Amino acid sequence: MFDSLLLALDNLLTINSLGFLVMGTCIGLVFGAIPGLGGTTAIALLIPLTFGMKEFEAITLMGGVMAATSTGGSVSAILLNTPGTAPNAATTFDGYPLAQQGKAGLALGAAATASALGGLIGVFTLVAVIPIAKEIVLLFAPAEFFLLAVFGLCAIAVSTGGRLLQGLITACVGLIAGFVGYDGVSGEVRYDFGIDFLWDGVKLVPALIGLFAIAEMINLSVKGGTVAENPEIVKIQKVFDGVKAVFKNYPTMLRGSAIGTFIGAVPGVGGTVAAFLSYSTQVQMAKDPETYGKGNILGVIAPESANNAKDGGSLIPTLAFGIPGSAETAVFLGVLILHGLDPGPTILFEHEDVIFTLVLTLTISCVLATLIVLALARSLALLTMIDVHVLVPTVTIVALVGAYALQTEIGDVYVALVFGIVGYLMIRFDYPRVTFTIALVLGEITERSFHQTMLISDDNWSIFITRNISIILLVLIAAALALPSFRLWAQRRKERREGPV
Amino acid sequence: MNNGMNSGMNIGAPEKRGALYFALGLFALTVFFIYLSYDYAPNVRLFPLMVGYTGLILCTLDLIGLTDTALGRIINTVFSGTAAGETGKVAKFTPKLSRQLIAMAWMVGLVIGIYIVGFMVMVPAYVFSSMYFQGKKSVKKCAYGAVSTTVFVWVMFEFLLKYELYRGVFAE
Repeated sequence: MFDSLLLALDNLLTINSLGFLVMGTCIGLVFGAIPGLGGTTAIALLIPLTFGMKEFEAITLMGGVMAATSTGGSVSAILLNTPGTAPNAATTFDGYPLAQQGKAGLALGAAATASALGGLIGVFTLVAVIPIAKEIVLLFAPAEFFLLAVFGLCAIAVSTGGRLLQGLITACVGLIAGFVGYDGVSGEVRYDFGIDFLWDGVKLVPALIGLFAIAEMINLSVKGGTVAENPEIVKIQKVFDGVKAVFKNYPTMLRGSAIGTFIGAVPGVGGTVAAFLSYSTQVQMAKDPETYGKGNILGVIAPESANNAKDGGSLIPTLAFGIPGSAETAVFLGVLILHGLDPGPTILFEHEDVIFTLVLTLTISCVLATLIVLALARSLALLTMIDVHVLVPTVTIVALVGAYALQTEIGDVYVALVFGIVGYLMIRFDYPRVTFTIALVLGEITERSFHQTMLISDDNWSIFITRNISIILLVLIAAALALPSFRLWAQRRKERREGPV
Repeated sequence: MNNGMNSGMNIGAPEKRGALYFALGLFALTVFFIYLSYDYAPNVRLFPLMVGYTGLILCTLDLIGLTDTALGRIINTVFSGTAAGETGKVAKFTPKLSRQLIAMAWMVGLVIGIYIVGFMVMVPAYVFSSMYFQGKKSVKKCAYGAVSTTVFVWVMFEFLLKYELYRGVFAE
């Protein structure tokens, strides 16, 4: 482990890597601050720029983006009451009232510091979990990998806010899209419609660029206006009072970070749930719950520490099992695959230096993003006032050129367009894109694990219920699917007990 | 989506129609996929068929969920975890169909343009026309946007990353 750490330091401490790290952090802050863009779009857009890079340089660029987006999102949440990314939504409850009271600096200082510390705790947890993850991964046979992938998809579908059915449908459609092209198991080309271009399958990068960048651009174009709806920005003063407030209230920050790390590690639950859970826990534990929602600084510290800590947590299933915990990590997984790194046991056992490069990147980027926010919060908030009619053509062009650059193949531009339109329709009719993306990424490993399982068991399906881990995973799948109904049952029971209001 | 659908009074008829068409599209796609799968050997089609039939069942449930029937409400309740009628209460931004079609047409037009004349002609043309016609910006601003985007694309992709960008169907 120590050798890997040294190797990672060696990777990182080069002019190129440090430059990409700073660049990734700045891009992450900008994309995080502008509502509607976010880290996933940023990573998808940046993928083509990494083609010529060494794998650790690409990782520093992407790691910088991942660590900084939530921090950037807190700026628009506090100053404009418009969360830059979904996990920053809980920050608006107390962050915006503080800004209205002329304490924007206090809120920003607290948010940025809590983000950095939360992020660091999440990353250190990831480092601590790696040796344990290695032991656990060795217990997994193909049947367990198959069930884990199914569980990941179900858990993510459940977490899509009352859209379980739509989430499962898009997961199936994502898998279907993943079947196109050469089948690694049988060696046959499938669903190619006689088009040579499809022999290689639906390429991940143009598809992701379409699903996120192009779809968001169509969406922004339809909405029009400026990105933020409330362009009034208040003065920013006393930022360091906010920094001090985090250290003074460290139990809140530690609790938020613990919640964020744990929730982040569960596939699909993600930063939004982590931030809201951290916020509601804080309110429930407070002696003065009536002050929350009116500008309590603890209401900023709790969600911000959680939504950054989730980054480290969500990388645990991504790196250890190759099962992404969110759309952002799914796209990041695509970057790893593109650079010849196979997430899961391979990366865990053979490329530990890559994991440590990522860990160090996230650590440095968390701190760097905080420093930039403390210095340039006002300028970041101004970004949200860009007219979408200026933003849309420029981002669209970069996205399409990027899709083409993958293999200098014009067909990839068509793929980006088709997935862009499909992605927009998903936004429009509220079908989750995250399950589609993760299914597209997981398609190959899922099918391969299934076939390996069938080969091992000689087509005997009972293999799925003969090992303890398989049974646990089956129970988890059933529990995940039953969760919405259980929640409804519990809610109704509570209402019956409390009686009509 | 059907969260909104299960309370028919919250969503106007065109919105519901659109959602229905999209759900039908997904259903048709799944049926077509299953049909295609039978062209392959049993071991090759086994897993795709498992996914296809699962998708078909889910799409059917989704379509039933879009109807204002008792079964539709039960499906929505079971899958959304909220009592029928509770979801979809928040007014959603519902843009005009024409506006959406125009936004998509610009993208399609851009890609067709790229196919015909390539990136280096289409990039400035698209940025300029999009800012001018859609954004109603001044000619000066549009020209500035078009030139800066083209220069960025050329410097980043052709000069630094050494990609030769597509020059159009005639040049190829």
